[in-house]
Amino acid sequence: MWSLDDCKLGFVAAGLVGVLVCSVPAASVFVRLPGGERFSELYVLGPGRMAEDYPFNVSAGVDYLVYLGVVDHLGGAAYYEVYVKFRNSSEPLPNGTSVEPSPLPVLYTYRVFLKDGQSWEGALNFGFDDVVFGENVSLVGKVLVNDAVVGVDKVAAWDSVNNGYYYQFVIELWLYNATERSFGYHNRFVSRWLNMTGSE
Amino acid sequence: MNLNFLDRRFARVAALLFTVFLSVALVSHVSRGAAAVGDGTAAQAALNEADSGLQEAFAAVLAAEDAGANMTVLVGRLTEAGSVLAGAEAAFAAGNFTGAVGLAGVCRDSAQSVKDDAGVLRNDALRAAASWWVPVGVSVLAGAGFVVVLFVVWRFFRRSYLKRLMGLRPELAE
Repeated sequence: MWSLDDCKLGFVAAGLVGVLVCSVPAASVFVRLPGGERFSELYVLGPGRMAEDYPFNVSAGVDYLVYLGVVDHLGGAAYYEVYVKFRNSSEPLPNGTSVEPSPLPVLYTYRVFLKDGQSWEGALNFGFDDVVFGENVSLVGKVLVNDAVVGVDKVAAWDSVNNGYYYQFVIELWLYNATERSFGYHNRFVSRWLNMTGSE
Repeated sequence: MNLNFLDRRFARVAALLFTVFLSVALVSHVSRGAAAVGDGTAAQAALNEADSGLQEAFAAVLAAEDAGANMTVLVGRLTEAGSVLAGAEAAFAAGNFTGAVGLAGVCRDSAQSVKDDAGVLRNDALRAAASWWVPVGVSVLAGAGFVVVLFVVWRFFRRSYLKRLMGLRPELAE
């Protein structure tokens, strides 16, 4: 049989636990738990919304599809701009060390608004027009991105190592700074190589 | 001689007609170009206005979120408005200035609607935050009630424990 002192101790313990449980509603008003690491995700998926079957050998007059995705882990609502750029192998990529975007012109802009933990996926339909081939050189006159037709006149030399005329889509993530009321490069980019062919 | 006179007259009339035609064509071309430039400027202004509208709406959403409002629906509506603006930019790039102005207007109106709704949600959230004493009161009352009940139970338990202890008979060892 327990002594009276042991029972008293049990009642005091039960009282403390009860008071702690009852203080939860009040604590929720005053206590803010620190969030985890803050970052944003940017990814590109194939036409089946999986990381496979990406278009690679492309040609003029054919429509291609990939999906772009953004996830907000910044601890609050965020306004992103996703820029689609097009380059050949000699043009600069974004610089992750100096946090500088690629200086290439933007072909298409997605505007994405997300709250913390929310994700977005959007289709990137693309195609090519006015593609001509010369001796060891190819020229892409126009790039079709979703409903926009953009003149690029991009030249690629024959890559004798990888056997192809290589171009690349570069997708950059920019973040809106509400204090400065401007967008800044968010140091996130993805890219997809494409081999321009006469026919698939 | 008569024929020569007619030829010269015909040539003068033809030259005059050609000059008039050239002038009209020139004026028409210049005015059409000027109109296109004017349309392009108006379309660009509409795009800029829609873009600013999105930024202002997002600022309103941020303020509402800071006040504690749930922004799931509003950020979705802003993304839709953003895709409309992308369509307006595509139309602008294709030289469809009328279409660009129309789509930019849709985007601007959507952004304004989100901004208004965010303001309402912010006020609601601020009102809810002003009643912070409700959960605190619930905690205090529940805690105090629990302690009082526990104390009464303890008193009852102690009394019955002691009573039971008094009722025990000591065993005598032989």
